Parts: sequence; C-alpha cells; structure tokens
Amino acid sequence: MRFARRSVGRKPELNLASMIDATFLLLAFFIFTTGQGLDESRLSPNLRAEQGTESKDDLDPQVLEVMRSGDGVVFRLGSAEYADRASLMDALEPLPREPGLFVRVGPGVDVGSAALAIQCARDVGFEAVTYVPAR
Amino acid sequence: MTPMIDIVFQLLIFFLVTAQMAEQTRAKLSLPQEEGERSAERAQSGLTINLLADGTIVVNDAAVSLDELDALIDEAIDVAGGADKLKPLIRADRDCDSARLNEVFTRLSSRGLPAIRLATERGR
Repeated sequence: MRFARRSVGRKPELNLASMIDATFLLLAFFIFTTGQGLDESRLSPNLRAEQGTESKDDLDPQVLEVMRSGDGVVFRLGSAEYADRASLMDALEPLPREPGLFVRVGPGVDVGSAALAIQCARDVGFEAVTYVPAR
Repeated sequence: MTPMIDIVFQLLIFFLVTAQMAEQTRAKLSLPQEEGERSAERAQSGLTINLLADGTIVVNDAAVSLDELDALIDEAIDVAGGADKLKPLIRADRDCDSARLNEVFTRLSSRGLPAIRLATERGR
C-alpha cells in the first residue's frame, strides 16, 4: 500500500479571501444583533406577595404606594402624596437605606408609573427594592 | 475554496435561524422609559413574559392564559433547577394596567421566585 508522501518544507496555505468573508459576515451579524437590544435596560426589584400586617423583620418596612387618584397617579409615602418624579426623589432622599423600600402598586396604575417608582428608589440609592403586588 | 464557502453558508444559516428564534421572545411594545440599573445583569432570563397594553400575555410569540402561564413558569423552574435560580424578564407595555402585572407577579412569587427583571427602554 502506498500513501501519498507528505510534502516536506511546504507550509499549509490559508485562503485569506474566504477567511475575510467569514469574518465580515460574523462582524455584520454581531453588529445587527447587539444593536437591537442596546436601548433596553432592566430594573431588578425583589418580589414579595402581599401578606398580613404582621412583620417578622426587625426593621419596619418603608412602603411607597403607587395608586390611582382622579385622572392621574400619585406616589404616597406615609401620609404625604407626590405627583411627579422630582418631588418623589426629594421625599425618598432623606429615608434610611437599610430597611429597604417596598413599592406597593395598586390597580389602575400604568406600568410606566410603577417602573418610575422603582427607578426613583434605585436612583436615590436603595439597594433593596421590593415590589409588592396589591390584591 | 469550496469547503470554506460551505462553512460560510452553514454559519449564515445558523445565525439567521438563531436570530429568528431570539426575536420570538420579544414582542413589539412600548416599554417604560426609564434608565434602568447600571448593575443590571444581561444574562439569559430563561423565561421572558411579554405583557401587551391590553393585558394580553405573550410568551414565545404566542398569547397565553394565566393557567398556561402557570405551566410555563413551572417548566422554566424545572429547567433552571429551582425557583431561586430563575429570574424571569418581564417586558410590560408602559400603558398596561398594573393589575395585570400584579396578577403575573403574584403567580411568580407564589412559586417562590425571589426577584424578577422588569425591562425598560432608555430615552427619557
């Protein structure tokens, strides 16, 4: 049996044109696919089902309620109500961060306003933000 | 030359198909216009739930009922290896009523999911 003799001293050839074609194809693919998701971001609140009034935590939770009021949406913190982002941020700023913030969103509120409440809490520095869906 | 062209076409077909599959999880809707979190991870969620403005729930390009959503959540939990390992991505239209969002969240939290990710779009 005879085998083809290996060429000694010849370097293997690489077709550069095809390699460039493939590289450009991959480049174009990644540009298109990553470009689609660039404008999307995430908010990552914790999740907790609404429970009774008993709390096992040592710290009292601070609750920001997002509710429908007349034609608009208001953000209630304690007994005070806020209607816009700037006033809500000012109200959240002096609160202690350790207990975290519970965002309780009632029916009739648009998702955009719920997201605004979570975003404001994150922006002022709350690390523990918990979304509590109202029944 | 011929094998190289073969490979290129193979890659082209592969990426076209996978891109199409990835697109199926994203319904076209107006997300809340918020900056989001700087540290928010962009890892694969395992389950993407789209919530349209009229309250329709869309998963994998198909409208599903709440009961069907329950089954999909259970399946995703099994695949992830536990409820604590699943962090679903919720893509809800900014004009959707939160009552619908709350229904979805209640079903997720009742299964022990500790957190979710809410999609937003930058541009405020």
